[in-house]
Amino acid sequence: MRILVVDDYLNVEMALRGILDGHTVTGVRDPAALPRMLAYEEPFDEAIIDLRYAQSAATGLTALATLRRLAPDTRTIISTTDEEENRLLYLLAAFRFFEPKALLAKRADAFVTRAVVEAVGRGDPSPSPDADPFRSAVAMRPPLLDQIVHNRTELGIWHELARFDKRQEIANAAHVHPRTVDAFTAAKCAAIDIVYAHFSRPTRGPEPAAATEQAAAHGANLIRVIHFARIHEQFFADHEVARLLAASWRAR
Amino acid sequence: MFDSSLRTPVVYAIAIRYQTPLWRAGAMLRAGCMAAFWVLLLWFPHDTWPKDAAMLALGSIGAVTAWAHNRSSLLDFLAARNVIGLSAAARHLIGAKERATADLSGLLEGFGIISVALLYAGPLEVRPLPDTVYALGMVLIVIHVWSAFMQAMTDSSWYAPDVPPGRAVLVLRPLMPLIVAMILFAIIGYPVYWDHQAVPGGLFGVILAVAAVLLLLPFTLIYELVLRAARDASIAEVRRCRAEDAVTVHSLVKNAEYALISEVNSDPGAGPETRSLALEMLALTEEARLKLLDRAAKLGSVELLWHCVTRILPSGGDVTAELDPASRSVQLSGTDYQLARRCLVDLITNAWKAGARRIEVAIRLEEQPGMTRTQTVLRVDDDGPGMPAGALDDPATSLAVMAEHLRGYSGSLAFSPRNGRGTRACVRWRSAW
Repeated sequence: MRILVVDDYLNVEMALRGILDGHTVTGVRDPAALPRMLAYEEPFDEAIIDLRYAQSAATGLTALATLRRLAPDTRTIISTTDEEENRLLYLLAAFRFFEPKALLAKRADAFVTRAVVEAVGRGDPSPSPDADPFRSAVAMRPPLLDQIVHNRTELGIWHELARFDKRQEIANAAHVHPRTVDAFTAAKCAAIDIVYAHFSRPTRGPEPAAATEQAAAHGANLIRVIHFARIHEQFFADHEVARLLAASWRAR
Repeated sequence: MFDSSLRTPVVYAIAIRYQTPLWRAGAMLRAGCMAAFWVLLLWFPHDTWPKDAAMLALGSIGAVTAWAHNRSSLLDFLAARNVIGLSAAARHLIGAKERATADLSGLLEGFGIISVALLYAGPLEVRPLPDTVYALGMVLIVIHVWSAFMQAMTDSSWYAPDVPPGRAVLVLRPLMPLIVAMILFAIIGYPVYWDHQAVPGGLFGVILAVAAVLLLLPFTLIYELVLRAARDASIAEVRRCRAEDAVTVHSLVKNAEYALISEVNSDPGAGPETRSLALEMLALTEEARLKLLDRAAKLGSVELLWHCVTRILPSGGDVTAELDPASRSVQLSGTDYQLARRCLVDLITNAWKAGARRIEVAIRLEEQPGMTRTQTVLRVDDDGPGMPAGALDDPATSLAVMAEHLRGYSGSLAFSPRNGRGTRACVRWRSAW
């Protein structure tokens, strides 16, 4: 098989070369370089894609979108470090919009890695259960990601929640009025509870310290939602995410 | 006149924080002014009360609208119900938040205060008025105008990076104090220059009131200075925090890495790949440290690569490592950069451990005839004792591991003796993506 590794750290590709002996492994460090690479290289059977890139504004979602556009027959596997809680929404988005064939933890040993890659190559289900919670999150009605961000206004509020911590300021910056922020925080607290219940293992960071005066000033809902917004700040500010979400809202 | 470079997320965030309490206080202040105008009406001639009340009505509605603009629950309530006129007004006010535009409350307040001023001076003025009432009225008019236009001049929407204000309002902004001062002069100066009345304060009072309004311009410029200072202070503070983080990276991570490298080097069971990775971690940490300090050159630059790779050499030792000056400007792709880092770490370490005292490195991108992709060529010269024969054939050496990795990139690693003393290592591979 020809396998493409999209990961900013070369040693990941080198390690996969060793593990996937017998297959041709080629890599690219930045999803932004993918279109040029795909124009020159033979088609790939599989792509193993990292989600976040230290030196690039592009993300794994950019890579998935590029592959869907330029190499739709390439089966995709998401590769991630599951300790990173701020990857959760990116993973949800990846499964919501691109249906990758598997999720592969970077800490997976050589045996599991090879088994997952080869199973996906054969068209079999992945032997790793890592992707199951994300698939079931997509199967929810409405999908879990849609419960978190339902429209453009909500995306705007999430974005501002990461920058401001007072109800009125958030409302002003998001061009909504504070009552909308109140309704938003109440609804999103419920959605966050669902997220935490669904992904009990990798995603729950320490809850914010509920300082009494802070709680009194802003309300417990607001504190929780701000905490969540700050963990996922990059997701809510990501242009690729905004583009994908907007397309899904238009298609409703 | 105003600084367009202030239209950044940081400044916008500062302006939002500044403006939020100001809106409320300003609306309350102007509502208080309007209430005082109603009280002063008691000293107006009784037969003019119906006309006076009508002229106060517009400004009063403006004050209520400005107050409602900050009462979202009320706007919600009205917008959700089908109250003729009010629901549409509420929806308009909700939509006008944070936009540099003339909204309903602004227009009502603006025309409202003109209407109030016309009660005291101008063709519709009411006479006779007690001097104290007239003077108080003038003071209240100036306070009202000042409060409303200070809010307009310093509104956060001037600094919105995503929805920048329109060209017309940008042109209007510095002219606003002048236009308002002219209107004010035309109205409150009327009794002095038209009717030649002896009003309290006289012409001096009129000029004082107009000058107070003109002060809006320097006030706004000072406000922008404060914004700029706040922005610069924020940036400096971020830089300080990042410098602290860089120290943390250095003291926590680098010290742990030195301990790890020491352990790996003394462990005969550690393979060459492990030794290389442990060493490369040092260069990676230096990259992260520079990035935190915002001192990292563009990723892929050989200059950054050289700085980070030479960190693995012992400081204060007698080894000299030099990069060919022409190589400094070479820009590598992400893969080539990391491959070069890996090779350089191994080659420099090997040369140093073999006893070399001078290491010279050159990096080039070479065009290949008939090929779309270049070749990356890395040359490492040293003055060491030379390579032992068959070093690349021994799989336990890091060089053999490197040669194996390079084959995956259509590359090779070759050694040749230099004239006199030392070795030339030449690494080449097809430039990657």
